[in-house]
Amino acid sequence: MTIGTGGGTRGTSPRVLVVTHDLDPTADYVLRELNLRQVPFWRTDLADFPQQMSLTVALAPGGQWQGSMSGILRGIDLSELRAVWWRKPTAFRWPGTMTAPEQRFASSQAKRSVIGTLGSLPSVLWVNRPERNSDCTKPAQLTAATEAGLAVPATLITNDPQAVRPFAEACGGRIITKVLGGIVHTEDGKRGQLYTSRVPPERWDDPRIALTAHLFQQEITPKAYEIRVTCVAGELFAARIDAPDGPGQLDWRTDSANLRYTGIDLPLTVRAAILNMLYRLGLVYAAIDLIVDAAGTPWLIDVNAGGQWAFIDCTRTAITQALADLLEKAARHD
Amino acid sequence: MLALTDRVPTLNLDVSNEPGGPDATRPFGLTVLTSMVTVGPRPTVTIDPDTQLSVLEGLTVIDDLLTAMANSSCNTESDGKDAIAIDSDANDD
Repeated sequence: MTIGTGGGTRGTSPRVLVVTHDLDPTADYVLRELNLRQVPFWRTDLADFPQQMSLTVALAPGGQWQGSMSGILRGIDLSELRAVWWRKPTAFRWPGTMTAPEQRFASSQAKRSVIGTLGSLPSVLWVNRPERNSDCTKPAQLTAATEAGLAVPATLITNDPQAVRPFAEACGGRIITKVLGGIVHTEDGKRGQLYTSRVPPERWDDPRIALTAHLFQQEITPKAYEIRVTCVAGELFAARIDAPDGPGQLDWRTDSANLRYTGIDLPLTVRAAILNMLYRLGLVYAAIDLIVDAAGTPWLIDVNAGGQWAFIDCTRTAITQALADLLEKAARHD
Repeated sequence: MLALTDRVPTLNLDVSNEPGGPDATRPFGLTVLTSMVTVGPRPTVTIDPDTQLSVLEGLTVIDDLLTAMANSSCNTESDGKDAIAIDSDANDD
């Protein structure tokens, strides 16, 4: 392996495709490592298509798609592609004068062509396949976790306000609600967050529960601490998270400035269950949240298929190296 | 059974200017919305042609601008502390 100066590999045919938006410092840690290792990659975003990226592929007699994707400075010969790191791409970007119906048509075409072609290539490592990320819904991950042997809080998803009270009472009156998707919500030119919140009895019958599906869960209390487990192709990197008294005790994202992180070893049974769960979900990479209760039982709270990891000092380097190792190994494979 | 969701999830950096509707038809789940902040113009971001790393107004982000990842908007999916970027992935929380 050639040790380079880290200045990039322009001019070398890339074998790794990194799909993410243009401001992704988390990904940059890995990309910097790939540069140091002289692993040729091409970083692009779906938003580059079609105005700054072209796709030309043809079906070969043997049934394999051949051709290339090309950007302004780089491109990739699909026969050279060995790995796709699907990070956080933004949507295809269309000319400003294209109408909404026209954009819907163009998006439908582009999605099936660009992703469809890449997805059909044999022997390409995906971290992760986008459809696996998409399928990693709360219902799916909680099922996989349960089947894998992890403790999972009692959970109700409903748009029937009448269903909440009996569930809450069965949970001893301590329930929380959390979103099934992203926690960021924008409106009126502002951006806010939808953190995990307790649901007091006076809100169990709120008629607005009927307006869409809502998730309610048994609150795991008393809580001893939490764990963030990052998985890279079967390697697990676990960090204990301790939040001071206050809102961070319920949702540590609310008090990120005051959290304490320490490395932690997971029991073998928990490690095995996590790996089993991720196998069921078809994920090579995931960031997993656990709550450890006062009795020491770890409860599966969340599986983030595209979860961030670089914000934790004690595991950042190890995870960076693991991701770089994974992509480099794929790139070196003939 | 596979969920019938969009099979190609993407990050949405758009900020809606539409105001919230009347209480009666505002879903229960939005009653916990908090930390609403006005979103300013997005900074100028480019990709270094050689390293392919993120560059913000001429400075390499991870070398020049981030002394620590904690407290930035790269902290988990979104912590509301918009140091550099908005992280609005609709598929992850």
